[in-house]
Amino acid sequence: MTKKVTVWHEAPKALQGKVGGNGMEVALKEVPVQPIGMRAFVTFVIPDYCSDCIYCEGTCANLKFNKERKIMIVNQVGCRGCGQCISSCPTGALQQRNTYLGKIDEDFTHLLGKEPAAVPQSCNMCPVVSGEMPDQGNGPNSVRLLCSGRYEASLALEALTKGCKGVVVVGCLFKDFPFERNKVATEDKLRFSKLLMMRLGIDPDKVQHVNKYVTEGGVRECIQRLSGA
Amino acid sequence: MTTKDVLVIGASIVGIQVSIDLANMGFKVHLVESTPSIGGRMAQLDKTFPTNDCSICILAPKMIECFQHPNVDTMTYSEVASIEGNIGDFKVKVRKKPRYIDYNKCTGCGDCTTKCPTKVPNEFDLDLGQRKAIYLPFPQAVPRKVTIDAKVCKYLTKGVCRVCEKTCQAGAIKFDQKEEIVDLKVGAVVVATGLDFYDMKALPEYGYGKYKNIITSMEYERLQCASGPTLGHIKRPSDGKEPLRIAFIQCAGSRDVRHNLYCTGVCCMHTIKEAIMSNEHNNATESFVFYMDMRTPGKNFQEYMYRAEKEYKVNFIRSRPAKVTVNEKGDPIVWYEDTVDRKLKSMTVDLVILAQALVPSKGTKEMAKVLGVKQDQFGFLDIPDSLLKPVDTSVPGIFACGFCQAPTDIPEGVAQASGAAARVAEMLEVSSR
Amino acid sequence: MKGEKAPVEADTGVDPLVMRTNVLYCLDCGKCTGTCPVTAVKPGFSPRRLVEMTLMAKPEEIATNNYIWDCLTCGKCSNYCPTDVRFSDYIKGLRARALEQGGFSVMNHGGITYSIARAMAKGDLKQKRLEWVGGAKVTVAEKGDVLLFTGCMVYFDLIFEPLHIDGAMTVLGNAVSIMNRAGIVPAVMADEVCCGHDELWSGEEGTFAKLMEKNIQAIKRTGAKKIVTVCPECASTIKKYYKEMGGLEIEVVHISQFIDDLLKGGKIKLRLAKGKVTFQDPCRLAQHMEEVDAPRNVIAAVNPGGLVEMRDSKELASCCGTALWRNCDSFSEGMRGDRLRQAKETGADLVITACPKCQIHFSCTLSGKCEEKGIDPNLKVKDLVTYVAENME
Repeated sequence: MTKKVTVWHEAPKALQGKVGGNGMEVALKEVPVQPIGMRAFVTFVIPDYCSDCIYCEGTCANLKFNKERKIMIVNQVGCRGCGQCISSCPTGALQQRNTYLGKIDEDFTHLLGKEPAAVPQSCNMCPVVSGEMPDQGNGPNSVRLLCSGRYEASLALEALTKGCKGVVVVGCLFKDFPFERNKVATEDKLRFSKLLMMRLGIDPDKVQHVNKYVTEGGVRECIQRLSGA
Repeated sequence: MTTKDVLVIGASIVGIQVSIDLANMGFKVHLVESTPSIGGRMAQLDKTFPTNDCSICILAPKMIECFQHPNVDTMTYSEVASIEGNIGDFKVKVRKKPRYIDYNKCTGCGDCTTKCPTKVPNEFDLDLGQRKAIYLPFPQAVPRKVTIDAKVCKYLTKGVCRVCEKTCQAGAIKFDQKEEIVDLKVGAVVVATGLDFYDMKALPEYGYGKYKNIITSMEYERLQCASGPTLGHIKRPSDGKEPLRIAFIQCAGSRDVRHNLYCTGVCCMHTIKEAIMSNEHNNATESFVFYMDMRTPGKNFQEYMYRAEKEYKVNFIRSRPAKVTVNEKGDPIVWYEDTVDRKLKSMTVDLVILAQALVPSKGTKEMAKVLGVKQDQFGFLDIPDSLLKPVDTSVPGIFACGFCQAPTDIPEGVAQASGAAARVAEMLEVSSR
Repeated sequence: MKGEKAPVEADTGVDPLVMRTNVLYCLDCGKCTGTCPVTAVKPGFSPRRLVEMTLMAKPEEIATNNYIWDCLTCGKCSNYCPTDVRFSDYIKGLRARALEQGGFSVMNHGGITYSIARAMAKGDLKQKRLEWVGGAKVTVAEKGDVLLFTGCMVYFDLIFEPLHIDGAMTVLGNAVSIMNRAGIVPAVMADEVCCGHDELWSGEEGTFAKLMEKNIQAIKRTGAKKIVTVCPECASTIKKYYKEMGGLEIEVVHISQFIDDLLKGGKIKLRLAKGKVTFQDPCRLAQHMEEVDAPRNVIAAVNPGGLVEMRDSKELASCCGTALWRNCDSFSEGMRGDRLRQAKETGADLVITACPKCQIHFSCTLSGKCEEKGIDPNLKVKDLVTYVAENME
């Protein structure tokens, strides 16, 4: 009997492991873990949701269309976890989860009721950058993405609506594939975010992009500027 | 002053039964019927459930008994125009519509009908066949007198023809006949004005009127009947092919908040009957009845349903179909969810029959106004004390039995008729002492 | 006996959600499932079985039941139900409860439309949503008898820019231009917020209440006596739910009904167009508002005899496949593929829509891998307002 995978942005702890009303099981424990080095994430496709559109294929060489199953498949070995494909998937078929101790989440429920200064949405892979952030990027005011490629407009908008004074998107300048592509794509998405915010009447400067070499710094200043403003 | 005369409106089997009962007790009955013959809907049926008796064969003796009874004065092709007064002393005006025939001269030979040039759809056959402008409504009509339909007769509308006059050897044609008003004094009134058919075009999902091979139950009865438009050979409308797979869709327009909320009460049984008869016509015929509940509460009704399943190839599918479409050959396809195995299915059949909802007749609504009788929210004549006085209307002295007051089948209707006769007799006997 | 608990006082009341939606009247007849467009592509889904399942389920089980999010709330089932079970309203109530228990469904496009609505609900934003007025060269006002409720088209323009649909300037501009030609200067609101339709039907009642309140205040400030919308979702939400839940008593019509009235009154003159066209009935217009004639009258006035109906049309029309920017998946694409193939069968090369979402969803499918799915990529999808405006004298 095939088990279907359900999708939770972040399932409340109480529901993990329980069987749903129509035989579906909550997925968090079922997701296959690739024990490759220190891999802390996994990117996968939910079969029913993939409608074979055209939006993710061009984003990465690790995505291929499987003709028998009629869905996209992720090459788990090659996948760097940048999240480009996920923000391009319109249906939510492509998903990413953390499987290790490092926190990767896009949920802002923990920020409710607090007055955080700024929300750095930053890459998880570089310890140096996290050193610049309050609480090394693990504190209550941070949201860690795997890579700035995962950034999309709804994340910034939610943060601002929930009370944050600003959003800093932190990404590095690695010139490896696919990171070069990420820089361009992330800038596109930031441009869209700012257009959207201008139309909504939100100050577009509340979202800042810090895209530098790890040794150049700049994140702390950006956060201070946004908090003080 | 109370009279011992009684007015019975509507000469259906129910009206006929009331008349016979009262006449046998010595009351004078004035039986008024708006169509040219007595008999009502039962004359249109092929067989009756649960005995599968030939309908007209058991109706005709009653029709004759009623018509020839010395105490019954039958006025066909007539309507009640007005009524005044109270229980025991009603003054009634009956309008006798002109037949354009000398009643005493016409022998009912039918020669005129063979020569008449005008053909129109025959309402007795639900417009499936045709009749002439001068016509006998059905072969067993009582009284056996022809009628000229003034709306389509060439002479009465345009001033030409008169072929019937030349053909009639009895010289019975009377084009200058006028309507007659008859004054009556009666002590009580019994209404038995019966039912009409709900228009199936109000359910566009079933395609009635759009596709040819989707018909109603009554139309199917006429196809099955030996005196019907196809002489009893079951032929489907599009190509005349004999249908071997027939789908019956129950509750078409009944038990439905969009159409009629009530249950029509007789469709489950008449569908089983039609399915059984289809198999009797041709042993290879299979029927599929799409139902929500099979309502078979009367005497021997449940056994009738089991016999249909065991002996007559009738299959019962618990589902209310969503829609009916057709393929290129004109075969209807029924789309439904089988609620037992929970799968979405489609079934191609040769003919679809809609068990149409039945509503109080136009005559019922007219009589309610004329008589001042209350109607309920569906148009049935209201019975204020339906538990202990099941045939008394809101007006004392006026009784109602049969479909005009609630969905009723023939046995129940006849029982109500005898009940109404007893009520009238009790009322008029006691008051005249 | 010792150790046995005393019997608990039974709660004799029926759940108010069940009462108000007539769910207990279900006859288990299956007519809803037969008409449901989702069941046709997803055999496990069935409105009838969902009623059965949820009536017997515990609250936690509702939260993990994914079927309640598959329903498109198109309303076809409740229109055919013989005992008036209001299935879409029932699903709406179940979703609100599921959210309270931590239930969830997948939002599409990263949930951007919901983030936008939440932003509008929270703050008093000074939106820049009237830039299309200048571009379309039309006349509007701050107050007036007729109010044009513009909806979220100005934001869809940004999000769906690659699809090249008829954007805000075209559709809204054309709507006002038609009104101006008939001598009407409509009011438009600069402080209008999202009507809240998606939040209402997804069970996010808190956000909906905030959006509704803001809109009602803004509508009252315009002094309008009649609201016209280009989106049937806005129209059905304001007409029914702003009245029931917000007490707003005002006449609301969809633009197709408005143009139909103008044509009947001889207020606008048309040049005749030719060619075969077909019409996609939006579910909120055909099923929720029970309006199938007005758009057809309008098309017949522009192109007499040119309309060819698809196989399932009017009250039997099937939805465009995705609702509320949620749960768009391979089954939704399946529904849309079927619908576009039906459109092709009519022989028309133009599909006219009366809802911006129908247009966006169809355009998305047409911009994808059409040949492999048997869809004709040359089909054009056009909004009704644009069709009329292009053929106005």
